[in-house]
Amino acid sequence: MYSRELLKGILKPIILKLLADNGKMYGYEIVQHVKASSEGKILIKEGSLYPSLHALTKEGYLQTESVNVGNRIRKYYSLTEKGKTVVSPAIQEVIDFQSTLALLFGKSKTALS
Amino acid sequence: MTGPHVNYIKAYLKSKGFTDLELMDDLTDHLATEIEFSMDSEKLDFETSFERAKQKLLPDSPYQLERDLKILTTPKHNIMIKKIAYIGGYLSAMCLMLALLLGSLTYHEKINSNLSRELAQSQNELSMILEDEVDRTANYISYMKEMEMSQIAVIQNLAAVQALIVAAIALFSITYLPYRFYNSYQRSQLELNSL
Repeated sequence: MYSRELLKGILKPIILKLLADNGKMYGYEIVQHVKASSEGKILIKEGSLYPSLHALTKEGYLQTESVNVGNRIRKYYSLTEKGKTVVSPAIQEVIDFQSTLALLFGKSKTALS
Repeated sequence: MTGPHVNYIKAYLKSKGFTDLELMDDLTDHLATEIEFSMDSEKLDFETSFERAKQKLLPDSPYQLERDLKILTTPKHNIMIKKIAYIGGYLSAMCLMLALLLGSLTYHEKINSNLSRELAQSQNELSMILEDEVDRTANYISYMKEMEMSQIAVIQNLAAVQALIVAAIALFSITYLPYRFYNSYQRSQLELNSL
């Protein structure tokens, strides 16, 4: 499991990529999806996820759709048109960063996407 | 999950200081989904599942979540307020320093003026002894002119010093003070909420 500090910078690209691939998702679903896809190595904490989701919504990259589920409101997050335009640059930036880290730490390159 | 269960989760979040309704909806659903999972897969009751979900999902200080959200969603606003406060504070300090500088120069001018008066008086006395009426009149006119110029300069300088002090106080009370007070207020509010 990676530290919170390491995950902080890549949380937004992860959210953008997931929503680009899956359309709309709710918070719990995002956490579980990332955990399963990363074989348990990336555990997104709720304390990081929701502030990021709300910040992305406020910045106009995400939109929400509220649905009543079992006496409570479930909010599904999806990309706005503005959000769709930043997915590729955000992923590219992480891949570039990954290559730079490989230069620094001497590991072979691995594809993120 | 029943309505009272959902209300119980909401009441817990409220008791921890949460006020953002959007965030509360998200966290209620998150906790409820985890609780449902525990109740279904491990056949636990609501209370036990809720305690486990709290420990697993929420940080030690749950309100930290809303605090982080505020920090993330209002950085530009905060940076602008800080900039205004610090620029205002800097200008206020500069006005005050200029006022002090001008004040001390005026004081120096006043001392010079006193010395000139003393000099003129001694010249006048000398002229009286020598009974030189022409020299005496010329000295008197020159002295009067100098005194007039000096008085005007002192009055102008004092007006400028006054204006600079007013500007310094105004800048300080309009920009820097509200920022400091609001900051302290926010800190005390956060401390109260985290109790």
